[in-house]
Amino acid sequence: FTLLESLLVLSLASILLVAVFTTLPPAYDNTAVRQAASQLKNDIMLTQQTAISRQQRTKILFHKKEYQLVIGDTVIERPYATGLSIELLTLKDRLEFNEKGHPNAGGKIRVKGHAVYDITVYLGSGRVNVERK
Amino acid sequence: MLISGSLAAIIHLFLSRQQEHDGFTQQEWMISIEQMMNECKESQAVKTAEHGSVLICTNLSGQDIRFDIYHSMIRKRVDGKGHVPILDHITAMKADIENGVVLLKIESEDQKVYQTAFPVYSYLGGG
Repeated sequence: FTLLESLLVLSLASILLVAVFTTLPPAYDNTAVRQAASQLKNDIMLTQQTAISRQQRTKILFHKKEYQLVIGDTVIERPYATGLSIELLTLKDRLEFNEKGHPNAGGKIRVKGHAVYDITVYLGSGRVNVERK
Repeated sequence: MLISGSLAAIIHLFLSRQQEHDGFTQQEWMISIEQMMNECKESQAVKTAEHGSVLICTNLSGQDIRFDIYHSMIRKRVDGKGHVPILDHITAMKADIENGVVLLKIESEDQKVYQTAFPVYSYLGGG
C-alpha cells in the first residue's frame, strides 16, 4: 500500500467510527426505555396470570423509585433504571387483579426517558397495550 | 473485517425494532385460556352454540357465561350483559365438547392457528 492509500483507508474508517459512536448513545437510551416498557407490560401480565392460576388476588404498587409486584407473601421489587421514570397518567398507584384476572381499575402509565412509551391497562379485561409516543 | 463485523452486530442490536404483528402474544393466549378454563371448571354445565362459535358455561348461580366472537375479539358476557374482551386479533373460534373435554381452536389475524383442550368436570357427574 502506498501512504496515500493507507491515509485514505484510515480517514474513511475514522469517519465511520465517528458516525457510529455518535449514533449509538441515543440508540442505547431508546433501547433502555423500550426494554423498561416491555418489562412493565410483562410484569402486569405475569401478575394477572398468577392471580388466575393461583386463584388469589395480586397487585402492583407503584412508588417513586420502583414498583413492586405483590403475589401472596412474595414481593418482587423493580427499581427504575437511571434516567427513567414512570408517571401515572390515569392509573392509580395500586393495580390489583382479582381471582378471575380482572383489574380493579384501568388507566395509562407513561415510561419516560429519551423516548416516551404509554402503557394502557384496559378495565375489565386487564389487557395491556404499549404505544410509543 | 473484524471491526466491520462487530460494528454491524452492535448497530443491528441497537437499531433493530421489535417486530410488530397482528396476532397476540403467547402470554395473552395463556391468560385467556386460563380465564375460560376456570369459568368452565366452576360451571355446572358447558355447551356450545352456533356451530361451535360460542361457548356457554352455566355457573352454579345459574348464570350463563358466554364466550363469543365480537368483531375481532373473543368477549365474555354474563347473561347477555356486559362486554369483557378476553382475546383480541381473532378471526375465528371453534369450540367442541367431546368426552368431557372442551376442544378449542382459534385463528388469529396473522393466520396462526391455536388449539387447546381442557376438561369439564361437570361431565364427571358425582355428588
